[in-house]
Amino acid sequence: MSSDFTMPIRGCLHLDFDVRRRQLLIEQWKSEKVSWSLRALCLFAAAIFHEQGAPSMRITRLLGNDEIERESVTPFSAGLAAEVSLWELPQVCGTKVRNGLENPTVAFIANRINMLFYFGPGRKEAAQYGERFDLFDKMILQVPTAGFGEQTLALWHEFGNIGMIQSPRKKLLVNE
Amino acid sequence: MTETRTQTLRRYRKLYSESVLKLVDEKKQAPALVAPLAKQKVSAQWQQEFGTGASEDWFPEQAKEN
Repeated sequence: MSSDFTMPIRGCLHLDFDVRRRQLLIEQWKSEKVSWSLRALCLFAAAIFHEQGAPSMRITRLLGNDEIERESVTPFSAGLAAEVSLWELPQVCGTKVRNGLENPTVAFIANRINMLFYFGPGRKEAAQYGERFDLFDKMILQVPTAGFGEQTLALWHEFGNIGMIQSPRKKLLVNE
Repeated sequence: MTETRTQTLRRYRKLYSESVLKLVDEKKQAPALVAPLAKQKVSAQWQQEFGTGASEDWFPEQAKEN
């Protein structure tokens, strides 16, 4: 029985971590600081990526909620946001993404995530992508500090225990 | 000029992506449905180039069992 949760499991969604920060990201993902709502959001996004033909979804950074932390050199995880690479999507792979044009497939994915994970009126969006955020080669997945609204919470039971913390003290989970 | 490992993986990932898009156009099906076929095709090419024994790390591998 393997305890390495980064190994893909048959029939399960696969989260991938950026090669350059792999060890750090794995440590952060293991830690209890990463909120369970972000875990659910990431796995849900991975499902949508998979639906578009991507073999996996690659997380490049785990971030906090505020802007200053997002700019910082050392990524410290407050467990509320994740930066995701779009390279895995066939519709993006090999195209010039820094030309300032939104990719329709990614915009569609972002819209879908935003509809599913609704922040509330006049607030931020769960999936940030496109011209407004100046994000073309990455997507930022973010959860609100105080949790999602009722509409989204109504979906939580569908996720099962995928959002639970994986650590030696709180043992359980998907990949064991 | 020799190709680095990363370049090889990128080349194969790009091949896979192109293959998926092509199959979507041909079969008029969703990407998730044609993805396994695209993987098979690119996998065959990988085996042709590197032999059957080489691990296919251009694609996240499926575990043997849970």
